[in-house]
Amino acid sequence: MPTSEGTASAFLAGFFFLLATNLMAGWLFFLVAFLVALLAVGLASAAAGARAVRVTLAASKVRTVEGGEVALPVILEGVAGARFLRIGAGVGERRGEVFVGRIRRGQRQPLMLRFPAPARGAHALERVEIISPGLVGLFRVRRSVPVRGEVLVRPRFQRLAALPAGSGAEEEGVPAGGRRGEELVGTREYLPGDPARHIHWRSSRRHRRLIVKEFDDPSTPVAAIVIDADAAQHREAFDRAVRGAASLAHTAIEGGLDVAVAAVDGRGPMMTRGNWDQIWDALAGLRADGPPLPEAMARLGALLPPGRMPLIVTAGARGAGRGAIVIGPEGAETPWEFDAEGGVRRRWRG
Amino acid sequence: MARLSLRRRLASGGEGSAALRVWTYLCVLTSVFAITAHEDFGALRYTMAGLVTTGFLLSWVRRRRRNLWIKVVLSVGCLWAAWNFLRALSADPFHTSIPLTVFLLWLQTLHSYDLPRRRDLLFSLLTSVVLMAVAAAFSVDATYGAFFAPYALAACVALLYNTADAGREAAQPAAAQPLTTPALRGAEALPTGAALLGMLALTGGVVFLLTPRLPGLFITTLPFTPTIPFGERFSGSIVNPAYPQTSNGESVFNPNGYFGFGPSVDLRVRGRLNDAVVMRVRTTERRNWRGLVFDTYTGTGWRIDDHRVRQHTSAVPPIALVHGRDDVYAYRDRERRLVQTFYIQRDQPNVAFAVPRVEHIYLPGDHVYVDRYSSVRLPFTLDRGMIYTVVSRPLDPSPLRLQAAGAAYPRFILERYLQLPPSVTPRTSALARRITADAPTPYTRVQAVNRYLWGQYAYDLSIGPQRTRGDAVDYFLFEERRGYCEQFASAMIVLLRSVGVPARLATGYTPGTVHPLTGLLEIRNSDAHAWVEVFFPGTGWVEFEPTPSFPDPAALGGPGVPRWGWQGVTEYLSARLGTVTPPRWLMGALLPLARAVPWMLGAGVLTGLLLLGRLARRTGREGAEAQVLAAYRGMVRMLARRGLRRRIAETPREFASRTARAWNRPEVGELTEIAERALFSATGATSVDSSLAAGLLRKLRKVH
Repeated sequence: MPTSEGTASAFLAGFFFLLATNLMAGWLFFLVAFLVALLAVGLASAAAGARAVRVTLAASKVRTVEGGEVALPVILEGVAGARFLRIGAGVGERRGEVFVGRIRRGQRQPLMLRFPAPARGAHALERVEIISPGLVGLFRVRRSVPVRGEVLVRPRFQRLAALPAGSGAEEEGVPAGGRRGEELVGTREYLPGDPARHIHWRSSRRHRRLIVKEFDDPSTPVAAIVIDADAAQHREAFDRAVRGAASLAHTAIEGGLDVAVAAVDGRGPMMTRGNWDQIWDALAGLRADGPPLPEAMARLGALLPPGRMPLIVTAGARGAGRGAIVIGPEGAETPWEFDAEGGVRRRWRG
Repeated sequence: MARLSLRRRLASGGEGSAALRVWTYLCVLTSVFAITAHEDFGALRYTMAGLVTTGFLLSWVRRRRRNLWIKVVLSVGCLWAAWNFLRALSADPFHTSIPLTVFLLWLQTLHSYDLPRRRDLLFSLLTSVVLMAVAAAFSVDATYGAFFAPYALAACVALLYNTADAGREAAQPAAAQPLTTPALRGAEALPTGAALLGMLALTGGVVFLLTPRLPGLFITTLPFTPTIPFGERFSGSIVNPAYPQTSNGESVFNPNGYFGFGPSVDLRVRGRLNDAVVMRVRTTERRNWRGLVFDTYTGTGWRIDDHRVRQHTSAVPPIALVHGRDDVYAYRDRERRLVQTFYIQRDQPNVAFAVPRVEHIYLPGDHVYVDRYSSVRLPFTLDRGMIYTVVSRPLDPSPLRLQAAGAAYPRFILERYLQLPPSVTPRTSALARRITADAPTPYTRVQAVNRYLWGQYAYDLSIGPQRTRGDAVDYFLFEERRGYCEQFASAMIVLLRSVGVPARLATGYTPGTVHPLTGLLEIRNSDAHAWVEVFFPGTGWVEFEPTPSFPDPAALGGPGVPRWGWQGVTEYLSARLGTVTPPRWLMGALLPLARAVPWMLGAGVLTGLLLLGRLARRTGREGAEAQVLAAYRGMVRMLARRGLRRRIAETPREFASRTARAWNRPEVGELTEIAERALFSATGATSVDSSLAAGLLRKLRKVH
């Protein structure tokens, strides 16, 4: 694409040609030839510049937090020498570019592409763009280089002063005597990442889908957080709920509890137990495309740690659920509520 | 500290880039000098240069301020410049170019006081191109090149800085680069700019050679020197500065001027004229530029018998002319108009050189004189730097028409143009009769004489003075048998008059050589020439060329400038080289080199082909790699449709082995292997790999 300078040069070349023809002014033809050469060399150098480098992602998965910045490490390798390149990438409207003054043939240059983080979620990064203005900036040639990467935007969270009672917080973080190791507590649907040795083959054959055995470490109290991923809710409301869930999970882990985060989204039921990073990643990838909450609870029933009241974080709940602590948005008829920034507080005693 | 601050400013882009400012300033300054070099701008040239310099400095110092008062002053300045332009236009509507140029110069100068941003600098660069174009339009010689070369270099470097700064503005600098590191270092800017200029010179040279030159000059306001405030100097008499009138009437040869541009032509004057450019002509056709016509042969030369002139006056240009008394057919059959602008480079006589017959003339003066032969005489000599434009109505009769013209001549034509002095010898008349014995019509007689002279006599500028007394034509035809164009023309006229065909001598300049850069025909002293005009009833005076090696006037009238740039260059070089006689030692050295030229050309072509082949192989390799990967991606998509999705962390080989367990097709493994080779092997993919991959994908799609 010609830049405004390129368009102006082309216009001047055409105008001067007409003028040179009319006046039969030889030097004007010379000037026209110079301008045409400028355009030709500008286009050729821009096209060559765009093909003069190879771009690869230094990390296929990049993590960031809502409202933060994505720092995407990129390796630029010079196939031929090039100047004044802009390397750009992004997710949706959020884009970042980095300027490279010069790269020589065979040179490897690590770059960091920075751009504002998009909304919470797992975003595929499919291409990196090379923008070459050539030597004289009369044209701008863009080349898309396919890459395979992912930007994982984690939810914001807050440290809460207290967790809702009954969620496991009141239990001691010390294992009870006599119970050590894992105990078989039931079976559930297979989830990506489950070890193959946990697959319960007999049940799997019976249910015609993979079923895994579920074990529990009874030594650590577990706080179960269920997130309502009902497809009917608004994306922003769901994001606020996830922030609330993140705040709960983080506070629980900081308090020495084991946390299980569960939800049923479009991909099926999921439950994650682990350290904060694993929980945070799981919350980042949640999508609001699941079934209504009652159906989700029914599907998750067997998965949830027994004997404890799960914390249900929902963007659209009305009133308290039986056998669960429901945390709704500000103004909802729930005993606990979360705000837009992930703060969770008690609203009324039910 | 101050040094560090300056370095940071130099390094930073955008409005703070001092380097971009410096190079843009050099461009603007060069364009100011280029445009003012070709006209009499006097002190304005230095005033403008000083003001532009001050403007760029002020813009740099105040680049981060709002400068409201400067903008107000500049607006007033623009209005003042526009007012001056309009005033100059109303004072002299026929000379708009100089006021317009001054107006443009003022705009450029005023603009240089308000250049806060990079975009403003770029605009300044673009307007400097416009100034260079105006300078190019003014230019009639090669001096423009002396301005263009530094301008082009400065423009290249400025564009490099602009591209670097624009890139930095649009994107953040690379993480590995510190912020103070410039995208283009000062030390590498000039060499890179020079390399860019080299590329542009090569490409631009090719473009210039291949640019078509179409017929032009459709303009209505034609250039000429503004009216010169001097009084009448010559009232119809002819003055040749190279040959001042002597008391004894004899002329001594002067290599700086042609002896044929006076009241008489002495055929005994000998010598070779130099190659100095005397004038340049901008026109669409190549023709002989006629100056004077001579009707009376004296035996030793020619003279103009009738010096009576008719004055033509016009208060505003152009001056419309009426043909001379001997041009009986006026402008009949002369439909076409031919515009010619003459740029005088060396002092010339007070004769307007032009293609006959002149209809309008634009010149510095309100009157001219036309003699009976339709020659235009000026009230002043043509001094160096003077410009005049002529609109002529040329005549190009067909041979058929001339053949059918007959011999019904008007009486006054016969009385004047069959004149022969007693010195003409009987053997000359006998020769004329013998040559034209088989020619029934005047046209065939003219052709017979013309052919005879072309075939039997040699053109030679080295002949000495006439060794015997007597008739000059007789001496040429029977003694010397070689000579100048004047001898050939005189001989043809005498022979034609001897057989009753009215003819006369015309002097002027041949078309000259087109300068490939200026696009103007360069007329040199050595292009001065004499030829013959023959009268044909119903048609008028028609040019003929009796001198061998000169183009036949019937063949003239071709494009003033060759259609293609390369033709102009080759014609100019061959014409210029033709006038050079290199020393023997140089020829001795050049001859072996000349023999080696075909070999060198062959080697050059071979090297070029090898480089092209290498480039094609490299491009082909990259293309093959892309094709292989495209085939692999096609296979992955197809397998995904079968429910076999490749996991994010899965390598192609792992995916292939997993696929083989679900759908055992050998093509999957083979295509995966080719893709791995394309991606990871040192040699990359070949065209064989790409066709293999495409074939494997086709097979898979068939079974899918």
